[in-house]
Amino acid sequence: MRWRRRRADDFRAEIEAHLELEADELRAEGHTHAEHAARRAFGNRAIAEERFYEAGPWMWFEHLARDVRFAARVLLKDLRFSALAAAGLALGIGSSTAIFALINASLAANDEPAPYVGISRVIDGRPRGVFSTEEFRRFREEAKTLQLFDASSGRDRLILGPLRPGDDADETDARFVSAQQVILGRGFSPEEERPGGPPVVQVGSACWKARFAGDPAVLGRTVVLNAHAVTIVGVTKDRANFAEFYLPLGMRAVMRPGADPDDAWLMLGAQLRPGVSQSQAQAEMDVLVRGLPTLGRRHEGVLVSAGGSNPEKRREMIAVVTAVTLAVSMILLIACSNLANLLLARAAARRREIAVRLSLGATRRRVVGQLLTESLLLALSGGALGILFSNWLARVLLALADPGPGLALDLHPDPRVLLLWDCALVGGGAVVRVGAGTGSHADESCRGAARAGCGDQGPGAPGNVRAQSIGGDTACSIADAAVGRRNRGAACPGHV
Amino acid sequence: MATQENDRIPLLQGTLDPLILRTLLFGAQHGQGIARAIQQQSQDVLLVDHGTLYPALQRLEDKGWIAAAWGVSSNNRKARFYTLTKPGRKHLTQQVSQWRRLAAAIGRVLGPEY
Repeated sequence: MRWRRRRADDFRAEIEAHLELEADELRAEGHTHAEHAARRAFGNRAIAEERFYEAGPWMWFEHLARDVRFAARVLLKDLRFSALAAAGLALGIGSSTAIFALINASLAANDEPAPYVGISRVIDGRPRGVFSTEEFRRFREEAKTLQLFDASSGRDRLILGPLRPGDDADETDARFVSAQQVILGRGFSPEEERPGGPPVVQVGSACWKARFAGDPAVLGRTVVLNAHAVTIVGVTKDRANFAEFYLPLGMRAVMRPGADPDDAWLMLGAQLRPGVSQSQAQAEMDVLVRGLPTLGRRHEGVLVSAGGSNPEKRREMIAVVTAVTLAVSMILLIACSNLANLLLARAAARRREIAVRLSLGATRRRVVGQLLTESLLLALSGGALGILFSNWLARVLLALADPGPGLALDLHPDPRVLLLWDCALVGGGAVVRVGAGTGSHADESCRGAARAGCGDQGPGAPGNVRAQSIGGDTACSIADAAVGRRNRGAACPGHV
Repeated sequence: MATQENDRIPLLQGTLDPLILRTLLFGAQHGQGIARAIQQQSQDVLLVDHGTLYPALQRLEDKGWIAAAWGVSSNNRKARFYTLTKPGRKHLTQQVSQWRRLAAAIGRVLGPEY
């Protein structure tokens, strides 16, 4: 500010010096009223000083400060409108930010590094062995570092009895599994897992579509596998190396009567419990394995290897996130269009004010800047309310969803969430402003009468004619100023 | 003054800058001196509005084409003297060739003088 004053003083001193020099010269040329003539030749000093001032880089700040002050006054003047607009924006921005915060938190919670591990027996120094049913049970019951054990046999060929009368028997394949993700029906119960349990089966989803035409009534149906009647209790998700049918571990004795129950036949996987590292799990498994009977097998221990994060789950997550984000953006869009309508209605009422500004010499840039500042201020207040609202909404949604004790989400403000909030704010402001702008263009037909006043007079026309043209001028300018259109001729033919 | 006020031509927009730079080619000069020099060299045809001269000088200074410093004039008065900078000299050469081409082209379009 000091720098600015000094410069202005300097400029004034320079003009003063000019006038003296000019007066000297005029006096030498024989003018009687040299000072007066010099002053007359210079013209309006104030205009020169003003032009100097306006060319300075500080003008931008001053305009901004004035715009902000004026916008605040305008918004405070019509509190009802401002409150409504801010609340609408807060709702839109708040809900989208809240949902994003939830998604962000749940992604962070799900993004534990490599929670899945594979467990294999080491034979001849290489991890390629499988485990017996008994070993699998012992691991599942005793391991403290691992959870969600999952055992699966290799694929077994089976004979599938005719599904419809008159059909032939067909060859099919099945895996014996401990657990599978189901999309219909249920998983296996503990009794079904034990030998001699109820004869049940799950159908893979590809098989369900191919052999059962995707019929949901497949649950409870009986099919014949290797001459044993089994009841379908669920339809499972297919994953890599899928089979047509999935049988509980206990069915092995029925389907393969000759198999040794102590046979090693299961591939194992598990998930690290929260906060457990892979090496901790490895250490525990080493101890567990030492206590197991070797049953004559060569035994060199087990290896816990990282299985990576669950790609299936990730893909699912991304689909959900995309859908939810789209839905929430729609909410924001609706809030913005509502606000645009509000602003449009107000723009009609503010024509007079803009007319006065333009006729007093405001440039289009200044009018647009002022309108933009106003919407930015509105968006900021809406956004500030929105961020409070979003925090509250995220907590309420989380409480409603009741994720259970296992899922603790960290809902503290995250830079990413704030970034989204920013984007929502700016995007919202822009949509509102452009919406209001294009809206006022559509409104143009109502202003035919006002435009008739445009006539052929240019901006330099004499006073009263100029006054007449203000109406038309403004009618065009509100629309143009709002969308920042430079080409006034297009909107108002005849007016240069 | 040799020419009547009405015979003077107000400067076209954009012409003042090259005229100022050209005047400063001969050495440091203050604002009033620049205005006088332009009028004299144009044989009093061109009218330099003193009020617009100083904001224009400021603009040129902001662009770095001229530099300014306070000094004392020949008749012992305080004045702000302007000098041409290196970028200003370069800009002037560009502007001059551009103006010559423009003037020649307009002259061709308007045809010979009758």
